[in-house]
Amino acid sequence: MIQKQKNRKILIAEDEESMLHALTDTFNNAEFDVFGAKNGEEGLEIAFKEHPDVILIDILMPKMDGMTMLKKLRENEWGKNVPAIILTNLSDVEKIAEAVEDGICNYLVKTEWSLEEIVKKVKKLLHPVK
Amino acid sequence: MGFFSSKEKDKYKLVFDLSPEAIVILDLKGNVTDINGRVFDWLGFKPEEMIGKSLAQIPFLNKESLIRAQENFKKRLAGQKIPPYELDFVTKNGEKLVGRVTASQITNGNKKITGLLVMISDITRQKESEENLKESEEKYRQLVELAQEGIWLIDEKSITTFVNPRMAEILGYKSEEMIGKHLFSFMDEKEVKIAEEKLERRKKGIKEQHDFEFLKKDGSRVYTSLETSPIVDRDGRYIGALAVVADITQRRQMELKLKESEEKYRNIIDSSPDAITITDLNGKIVNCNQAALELYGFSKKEDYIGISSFNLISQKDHQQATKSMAKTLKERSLKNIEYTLLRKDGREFPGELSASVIYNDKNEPIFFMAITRDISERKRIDRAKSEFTSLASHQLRTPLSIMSWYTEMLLKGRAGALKKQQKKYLKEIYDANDNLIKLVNMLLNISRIDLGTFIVNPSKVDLIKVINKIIKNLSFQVKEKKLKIEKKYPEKPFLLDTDQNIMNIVLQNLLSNAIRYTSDKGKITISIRKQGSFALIEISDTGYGIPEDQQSQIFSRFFRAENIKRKDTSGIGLGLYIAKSVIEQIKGEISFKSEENKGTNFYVKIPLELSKKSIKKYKSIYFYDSKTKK
Repeated sequence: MIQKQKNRKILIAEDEESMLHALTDTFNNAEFDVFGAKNGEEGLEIAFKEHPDVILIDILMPKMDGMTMLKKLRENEWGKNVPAIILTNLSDVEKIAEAVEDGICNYLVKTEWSLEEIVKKVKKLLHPVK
Repeated sequence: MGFFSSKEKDKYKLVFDLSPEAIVILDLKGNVTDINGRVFDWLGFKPEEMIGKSLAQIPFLNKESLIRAQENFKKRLAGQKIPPYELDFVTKNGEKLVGRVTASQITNGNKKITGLLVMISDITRQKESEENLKESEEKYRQLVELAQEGIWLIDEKSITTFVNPRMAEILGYKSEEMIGKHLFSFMDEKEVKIAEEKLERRKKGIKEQHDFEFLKKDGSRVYTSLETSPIVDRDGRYIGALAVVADITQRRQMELKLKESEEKYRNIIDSSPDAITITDLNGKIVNCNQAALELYGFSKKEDYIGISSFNLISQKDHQQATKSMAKTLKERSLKNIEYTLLRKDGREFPGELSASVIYNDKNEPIFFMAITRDISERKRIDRAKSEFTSLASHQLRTPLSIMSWYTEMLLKGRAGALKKQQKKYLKEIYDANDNLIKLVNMLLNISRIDLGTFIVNPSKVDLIKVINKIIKNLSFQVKEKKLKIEKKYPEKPFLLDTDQNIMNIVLQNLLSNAIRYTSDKGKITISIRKQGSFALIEISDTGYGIPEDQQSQIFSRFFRAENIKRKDTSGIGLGLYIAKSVIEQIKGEISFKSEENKGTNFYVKIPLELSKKSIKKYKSIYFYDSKTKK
């Protein structure tokens, strides 16, 4: 699993520009190669092309929302196992819960997590401590 | 018969022998000298069995009669006049007869008394019928005296001629006080008019039964039921009337009460703004009020009654309705079940139904009474509220996150190194923003509690870990105030099957309050122990305490005690309200003891296991926090 030397790739699907910027800056600083997407459609496209190691997905996005993107991702042979975190401020949507319950993804509420903690969480997801 | 001439003798002999009365001739000694044929016919004694014998020697009188006869014989001989008197005779066969005796002196030509002529009339039959009459009169007298009904007789001028004791009692008089009084003196003017009409009918020979209101002696009213008939003489002329009177005051009062209460309930039902429908046990509608007709869009009651209540419930809820009916029967009532209901025109609307069972006097269920409300408006408000909450959560949290994250980046030096002062100022911004985030979360929690969408999700929670973590996060304040924290529990896992989030909210609240509202160098003690099927957490402080007069309000929304308002202006008074509300979601309890300027003890009781009923999994559309870092 561990990719030596090489930076890990993270895809961040987030339509709010300032948030995307903060996350990109932070993950870059944590030595990730960051791919930003401004909607679900773009997110899927990049995901299938770049095969990132981990994906952060916002829920409310234009064109294709995060849940749809996640669903489509999980239908894909490669995408069905890629670690994904739903990142939202809208603790809305039963679907998140279902997704979490089924182990399809993690989710976290933006206001509750500092950037530092998000990075930690992502790293933990990539290197699960047994 | 020596005192008659022979011609006369023959004539008298004839009279003597043919007399329908028994005649006995006695001499001065009281011996029988002659009897006529009637004596034999009547008593069965032959002349030879009687003649020459004294009264005592003939067994034809009973003992008492014999004595009486002998006494009267003496009196009569002495010239005393004795009115006819009765004697009890005994025939030769032993039959008892009654005779009326008249005795006359017999004189000879010298007017000298020679004996007595005793005439005896047989009055046995007459006596018998007299006895019978007396007996029957007695019977009727008793009947009248003891009757449960009043009996009242008036003459043709409506003057009372007789009342039995019961009648007098009904009107509160003595019998003798009523006799001689006019019928109308026992009623008021209004009733007099009715009585006049009734009397006219009586005079026409009409019998009838009717109710009537009399005035009692004390002026109160008595309701009666009368059975009246005219009394007429042999020629058919009206000579008065008879009434048999029953006091029905009590019955009437009960009827009135019943009627009143029926009317009251009918009014309540009719005027109820909630739709009330009565159905039989199969759901067939038997009655309803106006509000029900309006709710379901029916213009006529006739169209509504008789249809099945299932016609008013959307197909998809039929199964639930059937279940609810069974449950209502079992539990006698069922409250606030939500259905999609149907109007007559087929339009659907959200409704809430409460039902109860109506029983007959044998306690058998006979009907359902259902109260239905249109909850469209409530649903709309709920939706608006939840939309607002959603808006708040998204619209407020996004800028809050941005502020939080960018301040974090600045603090980390991501935009260049910062001077100490700049760092300090940024930290202030960061903390203030954090407080704002907490406030938004609190408001969200309140919304969820209000909407009933607060999630309860069970997991294994280690209380010790939760508490230690909160204390660690608050360690800065603890140090700053030089507080002492005493942990009266062993540092080993204390596991509960409960909701992590609720534990966080409650304990965070109580611990931060304890720290916040205890003055410098104070002490906070935390203990945890098992008590039955509960975990009992006690958090005590040596702080400001809660003034006694305000203790009842501390779990109220936006309440802050006066003493702490002066010392600390930053709180908003939601923490304890939320703590209590959420702990109730898991059937836990929170209570306290407090004394101003001495300190406060908070007690939290948490079930060791969540009951199935309290688990509310993801029914809602909001989460509080995913921060369950493992």
